[in-house]
Amino acid sequence: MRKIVLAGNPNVGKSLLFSRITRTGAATANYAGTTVALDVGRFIFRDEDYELVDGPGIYSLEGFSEADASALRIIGEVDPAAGGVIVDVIDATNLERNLGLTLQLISTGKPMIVCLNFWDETKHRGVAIDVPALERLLGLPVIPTSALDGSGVAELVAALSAARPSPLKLEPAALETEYRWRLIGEIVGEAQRLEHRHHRFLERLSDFTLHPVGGPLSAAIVLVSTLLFVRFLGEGLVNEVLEPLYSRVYAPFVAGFARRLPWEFLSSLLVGRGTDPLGSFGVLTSGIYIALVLVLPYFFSFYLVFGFLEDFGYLPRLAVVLDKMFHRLGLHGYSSIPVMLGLGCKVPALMSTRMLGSERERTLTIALILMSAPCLPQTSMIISLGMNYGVNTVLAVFASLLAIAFLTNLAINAMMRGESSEFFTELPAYRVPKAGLFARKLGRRIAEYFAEVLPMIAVGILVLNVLDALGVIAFITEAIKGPVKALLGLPPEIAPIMILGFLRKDVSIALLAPLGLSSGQFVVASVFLALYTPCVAAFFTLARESGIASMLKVVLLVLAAAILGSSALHGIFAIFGA
Amino acid sequence: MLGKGREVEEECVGDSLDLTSLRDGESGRVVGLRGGREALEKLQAMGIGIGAVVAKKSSAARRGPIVIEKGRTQVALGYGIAKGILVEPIG
Repeated sequence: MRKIVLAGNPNVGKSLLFSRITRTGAATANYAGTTVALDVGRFIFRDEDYELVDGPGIYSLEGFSEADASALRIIGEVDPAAGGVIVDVIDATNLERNLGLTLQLISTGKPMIVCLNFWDETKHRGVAIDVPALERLLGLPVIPTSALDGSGVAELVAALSAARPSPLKLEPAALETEYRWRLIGEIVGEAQRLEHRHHRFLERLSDFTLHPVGGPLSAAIVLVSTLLFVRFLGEGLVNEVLEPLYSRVYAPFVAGFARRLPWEFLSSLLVGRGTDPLGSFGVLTSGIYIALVLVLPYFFSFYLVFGFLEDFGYLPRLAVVLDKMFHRLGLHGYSSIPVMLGLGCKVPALMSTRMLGSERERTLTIALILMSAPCLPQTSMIISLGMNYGVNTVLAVFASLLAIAFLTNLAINAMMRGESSEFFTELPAYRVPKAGLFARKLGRRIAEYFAEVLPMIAVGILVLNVLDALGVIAFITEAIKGPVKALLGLPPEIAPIMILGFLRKDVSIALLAPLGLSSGQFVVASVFLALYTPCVAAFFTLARESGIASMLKVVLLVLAAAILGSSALHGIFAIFGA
Repeated sequence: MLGKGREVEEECVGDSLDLTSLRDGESGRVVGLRGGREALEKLQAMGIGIGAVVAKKSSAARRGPIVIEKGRTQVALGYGIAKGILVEPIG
């Protein structure tokens, strides 16, 4: 099997090409650093078996972050004797800058082909590249492609058999930056013509979103309209479509089905007890109700907007605007991208911290990811239940979380000395997302959510039933009754909820419904359940990303912040009588 | 102040400006670079080395990041990095 490695600068569309060639779904978005891990896929072309590896983008053969290191490793592993090939992916609208890495790759002496990606965009951006001239100058096959619509991809795969080491003999001096850029200047001068063209609408928009006044203004507009959109679409889907479907069609059907179940244990696992969809606690009743009726609509609405912003290229510009605020926390603006991903799910957010440079930055960012806001399923449940108390209660939950996260980060920042590195990122051109690609990405996210949510709820209910039968729950409830009452002002029934909350965070909030909490108690309980521990999936991701020791440190820190923060909230509510 | 690694001084020319004091929309030729190893390496890997011509697009308020354009590439740089890029204004 021949091993093919995609190498190139960040955000040149490597992952998109990977998806096109292997027909799998690698995560793609319009910002530098979307890919932090290796994607490996296989394909067969003309009876030959290929392995395709897609790694993080790099600017040079020198690595600074963990993501850089994994990209350099796969390039180093390309073995010419075993038919290995480097596919150097270049953003055709940015030829000059991309050739820096190309010359370095050529100097490795490995067989290569060059892929001029985003070819369809060159025309309206006033870039004309003479492909035969470039082939001659580099001594390598050069294939124009457009991974966004898939054109040229077949030709690229066919050209793999023509891969060869470039005959360009680069003296060691050629790798000295100044000489290298002079050489690139000569190549570009011969193979590329730039036309002067007027600024297009998207370029004006880009300038506006970076302007000292326009930037914060557009960030505020984007934020508010995202919240409003997610709320109204999510709420509309719940109230107008899914809730009626559940109560009129699905619930009667399941109730009839349950009556025919012979085995009581099975029926309590599947449909639970009683008819309240939140209180009954069966996989087919509460499980479906939480996952499908209460969470899915918000999940869908959030990723609809977020996916658009990602593919459009807004996130790095928002990072520029937020840079100043993140500096107060000892970070720079690029950390805002993992934090924003964490509004959806903590797992990809934690993984994306690999694009950050230092250990310190990663720890600070991880604390922010885990603390600044709950994941989307939990957020949906807080909104669904909290709105029964009124919008102020919901706002109080999120404001408290933000305050606790800021204070904790300030504390970590003071403890972990050292300067944070500086903001440094390329700003990709705005691109209007392609509908098909966009829909597939949304579909994949929803599928991943379902792959986890229903099995986890089933496991959770099983675990709770077993612990209940063994008397463990009664024991824990008795043990934490005093401290929970004194510190948080919550009833002892919170004990089983804490256990389930480790498995599914959204379900833990749902379990608060039958407790009849006051609005103040609901805020304290939501804040506590959002913080006290990451869910099991995030827990293992954290262990893998930062090692057991440092994972335990972060988890203990977050737990301490949860106890302190929610006790303080309880105190505030007790004093002001909420 | 620029990330990890030792401080490096590439070349320094007497009466040149740094990028932060260039006006928005103005262009300049890079005549000196100073800063941490990582920042310098990354700048040069993007083609922003001695002799390169860059245009300043915008600067965020209160020592926020600075956006520059080199060819068709736009890069956002932290204030500290921009402070280490010495330029001679053009035109």
